Amino acid sequence: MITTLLIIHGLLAVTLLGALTHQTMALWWPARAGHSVASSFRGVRSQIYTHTIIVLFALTGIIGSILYPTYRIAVRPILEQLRMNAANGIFEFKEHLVAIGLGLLPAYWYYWRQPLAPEYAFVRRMLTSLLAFIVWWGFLTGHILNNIRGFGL
Amino acid sequence: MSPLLRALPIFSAIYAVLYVIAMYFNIAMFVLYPQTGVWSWHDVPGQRGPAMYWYGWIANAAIGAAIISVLLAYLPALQRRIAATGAWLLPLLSMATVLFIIRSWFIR
Repeated sequence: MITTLLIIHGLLAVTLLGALTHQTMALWWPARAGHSVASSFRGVRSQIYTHTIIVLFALTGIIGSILYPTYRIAVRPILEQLRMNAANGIFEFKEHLVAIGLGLLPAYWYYWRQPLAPEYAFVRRMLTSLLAFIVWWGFLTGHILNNIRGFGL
Repeated sequence: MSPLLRALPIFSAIYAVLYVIAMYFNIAMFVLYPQTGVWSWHDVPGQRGPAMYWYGWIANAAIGAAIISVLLAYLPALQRRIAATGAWLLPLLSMATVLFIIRSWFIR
């Protein structure tokens, strides 16, 4: 059960990561012209991702919160015994970032409502960037801890 | 636009601040003991394994932010002052504060 949830959590996180990265890149570095892979990546209609991102963030967070007790009793004590303080620290930070990220979703939805208000373009950029940072941090932290033996830390 | 809809950006701003306060002072609405699966409104002495307060911090922050943001939604002048900038700046500052609070994981 836990393994299945962990895999679903990872798959949702990958999808969320892709959607948020597309949206963030399109906001900060909009594609002007050209048909390169990079400009196509940035040349998306960023507003169409909003609802998907909210649902994915909430679902990924909820599944993560179901998995968290298992991590707390099965993984964290081992990291503590091995004195892997930085590894514990990056997960601690992830825990708090996700909690703050869940609280960001109402504002994110509010400022991405259609039609988009031009005076809030910078607010949209900042909110989207914060969520992107949270998701990237969470994703990389999950992978580092999942594969920590392979990192030789 | 309804006042409740206008409350959403305020909610995000206030929630982040309340979460950090709840986390720093460990003000949790409830606590989970994952080893035994026991949920409690308060610490239970003698429980096996660690206690998890994270869910309780989130619950406190969410309820507190909901109450404050709905109240502020009926004060348009104050609401306008906080809303747009506060919705991203306060969460950003909260994230930095959390990192400062837990810095001992990285420097000891």
